[in-house]
Amino acid sequence: MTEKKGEGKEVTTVSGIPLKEIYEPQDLTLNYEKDLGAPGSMPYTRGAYPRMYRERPWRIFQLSGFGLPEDEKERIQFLLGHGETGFIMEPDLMTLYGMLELDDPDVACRKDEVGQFGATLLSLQEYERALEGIPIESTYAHPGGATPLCSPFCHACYFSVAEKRGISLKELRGTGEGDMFLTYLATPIKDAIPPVASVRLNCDFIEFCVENAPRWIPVSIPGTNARETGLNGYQHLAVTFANAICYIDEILMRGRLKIDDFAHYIGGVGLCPHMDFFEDIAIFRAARRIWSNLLKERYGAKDPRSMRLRIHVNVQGSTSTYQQPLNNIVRGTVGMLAAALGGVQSAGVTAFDEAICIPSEQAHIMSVRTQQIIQLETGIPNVVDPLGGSYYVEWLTDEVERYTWEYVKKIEDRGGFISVLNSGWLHQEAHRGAMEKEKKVTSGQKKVVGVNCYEMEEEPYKVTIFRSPQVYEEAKARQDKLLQERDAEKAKEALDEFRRACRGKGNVMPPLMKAVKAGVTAGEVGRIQREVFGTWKAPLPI
Amino acid sequence: MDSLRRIRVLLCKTSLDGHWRGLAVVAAALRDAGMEVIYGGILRPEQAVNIAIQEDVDVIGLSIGGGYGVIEQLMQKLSEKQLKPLMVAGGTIPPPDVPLLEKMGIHKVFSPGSKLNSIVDYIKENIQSR
Repeated sequence: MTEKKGEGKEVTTVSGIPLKEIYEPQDLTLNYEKDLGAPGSMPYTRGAYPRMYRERPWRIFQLSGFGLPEDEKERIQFLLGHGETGFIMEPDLMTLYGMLELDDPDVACRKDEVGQFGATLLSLQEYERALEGIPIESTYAHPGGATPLCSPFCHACYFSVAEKRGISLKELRGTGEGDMFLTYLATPIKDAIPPVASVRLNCDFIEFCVENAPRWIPVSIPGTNARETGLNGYQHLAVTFANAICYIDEILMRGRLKIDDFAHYIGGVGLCPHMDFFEDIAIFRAARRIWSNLLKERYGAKDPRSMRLRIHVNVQGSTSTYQQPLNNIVRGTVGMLAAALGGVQSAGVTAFDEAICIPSEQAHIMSVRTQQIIQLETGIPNVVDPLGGSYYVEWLTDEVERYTWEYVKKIEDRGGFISVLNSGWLHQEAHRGAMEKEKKVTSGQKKVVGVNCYEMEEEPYKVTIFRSPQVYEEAKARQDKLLQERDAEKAKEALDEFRRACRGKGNVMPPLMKAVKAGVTAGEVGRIQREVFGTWKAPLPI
Repeated sequence: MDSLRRIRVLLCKTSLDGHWRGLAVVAAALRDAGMEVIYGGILRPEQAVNIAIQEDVDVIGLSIGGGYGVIEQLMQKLSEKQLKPLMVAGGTIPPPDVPLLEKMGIHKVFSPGSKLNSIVDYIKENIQSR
């Protein structure tokens, strides 16, 4: 007898969950009411809202930002003009991520990098320039704030622009981030304040929004950045929830709010499909079930809003390839299909040229069009949770849930989210995942078209490289002018008040709003944050 | 060079962007191949040069993302100290920029997707011939 093709070879999902060849009724022990339920009700497996995309198409929410605030504005208007339904402002990596001064020695030796990855939104005045002509009262936004160091500042600026336009904060809609993964795991920020200080700042902002900006989601935890560092599908889900648990416990400990007052403000997360179509779908479905059970069982939440997880996705990232970059359009489409079938609320598809450069307009528009074609031409949004009941998808949703809870327990056994960041355990886990993937690609066990199979000497497609403008001198001139023209006494008082808030237990947001209105710059705020909270060194496994 | 001495490599980032995933994978491959890896993290040119001197490195591996001005400064400072390490680089580097970097004095650029053993082999071959 000859061996059947492929027999004996273990097949797993991309996250390592072993798979059978076929799934049948006996693989499921499904209790419809308990495990699935109607969409928009416990345990939310089938969707966050009863009618899903018939009523609420997912938000087309692309990241953008480079150069001066005017460059940022131009790209936002370009994307909104072509059908983007919310906008994301990317703050300059060199200065804003770490809240560094323009003349910090680490910035000054890299002048040509300022404004390359994000715009120089270094003051309220620069925010006003970036947002000129953009109707923020009616547009959903993420106004920058990728790191917890810059999130309070970016929001203080954005909210102040609204106030100056006479728009109530109660009307503003959007989301913050204050990403712990970006800051401490994926791309450790130079001289970052310690994680525990970031939790404090993020929780201050959550409490501020509960009181003042009820339609704003202050932190959207982007597990995406943990996954791109090397964690797998269920691991990135688990760290996302471990991070949420950390915020929830901190706010409950403060004692000012009850769980149903604020759980909703934390229950919007960022996840990331990774080219395993069905596992990705299972991850989004499992995520909603895990969140609802966590809030109900562990925290005794009662308000349905507390139990309802909303998901944003960043489609692709490290799964994009540098080689044959147009192939990334196909990868983006597959990831976006998984996101749509998994019932996400908003999405950004990585531009096909992002493995090479900052997205060109052409590549950016393709990301928007990918989403529009799926929304308008495929019929996918017509029926809620179309894969619900599939033997395979339901079995895999259960598996992802089980693996995720086990990993949450692993983190909690090691002292919880902050402990595994401080100890370097999470960095080691991510590194192990990255090494495993590298070995699989090197050995050919994991095929990547154009990289380890079907390679070509000559690139088959021409991609125009987008170059951001050089903006250091202009950004510096503007800042110098601001420092000269502002009321020095008023700025100093505002900074002192912000420092006192950081040292004490008061909420940092009100004094920060006052400070940005007095012309205080990002670098000045960062200096005070470091002075009060100190700095942290990443425990990298290198 | 002394054949008994292990090849010493300084790995660092030229940008303030902190992505370390790729560099950690390269570091592991170089160590597995018997090299001594000094991980410098994000360094300014003068910091990189000081470590290169103190650690007496044979190779400097740069993870590049962003501007090239800092690389020009580094090459200038290395030449002032009459240091001539083997210079290799990787990162998200647009293809048309590879010749630019080579002109600055980077001996070899490894684009994303490069095989780890190609990096190891290149260093071994080119250290021995120096």
